[in-house]
Amino acid sequence: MTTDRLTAALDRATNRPYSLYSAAVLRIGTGLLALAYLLRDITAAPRMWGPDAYWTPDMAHRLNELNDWTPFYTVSATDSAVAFWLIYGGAVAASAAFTLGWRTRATSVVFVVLLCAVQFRNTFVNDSGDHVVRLLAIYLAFTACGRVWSLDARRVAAREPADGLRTRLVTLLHNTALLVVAGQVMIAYGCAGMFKVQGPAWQHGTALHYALQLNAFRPWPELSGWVISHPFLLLALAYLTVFAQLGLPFAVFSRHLKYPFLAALVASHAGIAVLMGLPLFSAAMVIGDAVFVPDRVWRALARRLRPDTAKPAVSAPPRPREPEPRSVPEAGRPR
Amino acid sequence: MQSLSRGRRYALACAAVGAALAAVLHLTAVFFAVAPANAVSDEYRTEIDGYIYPWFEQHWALFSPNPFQENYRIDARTSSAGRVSGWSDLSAFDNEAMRHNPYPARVNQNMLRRAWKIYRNRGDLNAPARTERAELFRVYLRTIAVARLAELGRPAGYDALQLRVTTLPIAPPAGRGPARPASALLLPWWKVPVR
Repeated sequence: MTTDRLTAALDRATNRPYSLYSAAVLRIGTGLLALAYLLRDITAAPRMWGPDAYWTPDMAHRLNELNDWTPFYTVSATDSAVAFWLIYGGAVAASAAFTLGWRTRATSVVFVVLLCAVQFRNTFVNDSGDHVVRLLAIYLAFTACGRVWSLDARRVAAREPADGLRTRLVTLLHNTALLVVAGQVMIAYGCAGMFKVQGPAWQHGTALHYALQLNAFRPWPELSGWVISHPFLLLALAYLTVFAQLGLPFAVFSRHLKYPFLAALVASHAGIAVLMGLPLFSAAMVIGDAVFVPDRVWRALARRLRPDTAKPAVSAPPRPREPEPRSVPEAGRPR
Repeated sequence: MQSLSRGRRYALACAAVGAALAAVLHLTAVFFAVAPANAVSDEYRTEIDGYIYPWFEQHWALFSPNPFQENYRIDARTSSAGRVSGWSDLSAFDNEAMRHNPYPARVNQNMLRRAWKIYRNRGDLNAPARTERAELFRVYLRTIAVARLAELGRPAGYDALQLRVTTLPIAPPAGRGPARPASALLLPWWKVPVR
């Protein structure tokens, strides 16, 4: 390994932010899901998170002492209704600003802090979808997710940043964080698959027979009943889920194979969203999958939807010196 | 790259190595936090959990290794001055609210269900519970039950409350064995403080 090759590798890692459009899709999706989390249950917010919540501020503080977690965990466990609604309102505002990509660098940090403040208030009303949204929000704070498809893109479109150390470090952070998102999604699917293959119900393909009869996940009993009455369909769906989850961490290294796997996972999440009444969880997983879609696909989609606004001249990143940013994590190939 | 001085290039290289190391360490910790129990996660459980919780908390054993194969029905009754009421079905309230709702509220989908599971997993059926943690979960479950009874039209004013949790096994698919019978767990009477 010569110095030249090391320099070239360093250049690849720090010269150009990869997957800016995927990062923008993740930003918009995560921001919208945070808004859904906060606003869907606004009428129940006082009972879940407020000073008079069933899980009282005192109980939250006491459990946090027993757990010995960060004091930030109970930052919104307050007896003051004003303080609570300020945090809650701030979280809503930050989610909206983050979605729109307004002053994204600073907003993304405020967004994470306030979203976590609300989520941590009562973990007992959260589920896996909320964990995914929080994880994405944390990782995105390290990315340049506001460069395109954002208010920032309009504001700074004219500015050409210098090739300084600071710019290089920002790019390095962005590229690393997107790889972490990709790794996180691969771990999630890989481990979900590992757990499933251990269970006889998934091995025999009868898991959905049970899952679709759980009261908490059966908003359309007639529809669930119809699916349950077709054992071959249940078997196909169960096996498809297991294979897609186990295979994704490998399939994403293939330029072509990843698409059928992503399509299968998106389809399975669409099914979960409707059949099991878990739209937020399913949407969060689909948003996570978006990290594997390369920018050329996003740009092609945008051109198809809005032929006038998707031209690089309008919405391209501030540093479009080289064509075609590649997607994360086609890491097996030299970039 | 040539526009950077040699010193700055070294600084950048150090940052790149640091970022790569941080990413690998983070993902390794996440993997061992969520993977099925294994030698590494057994050995370093404290360190891993200390890093992961609360920021990176996540669970991927969803409906696995096996989906739950039973539903729970939680009933409550109250006692005031020795007069015991009939049972009220607290779960039916949630089931009804979620029916034909494309985006169920988390107060219906998660609140009572998770409060019961946490109490069952961490609590000890004593009142007050033996550990402080279990006592917190007992009080949380009781508070939800009291609120739910109020929503069902039974205002406060009683001095004790009792929960009955009925396990309703889901019948296996045809040819995969007989259905298990339902079973009920009667929790002790819990005093309800006057608010």
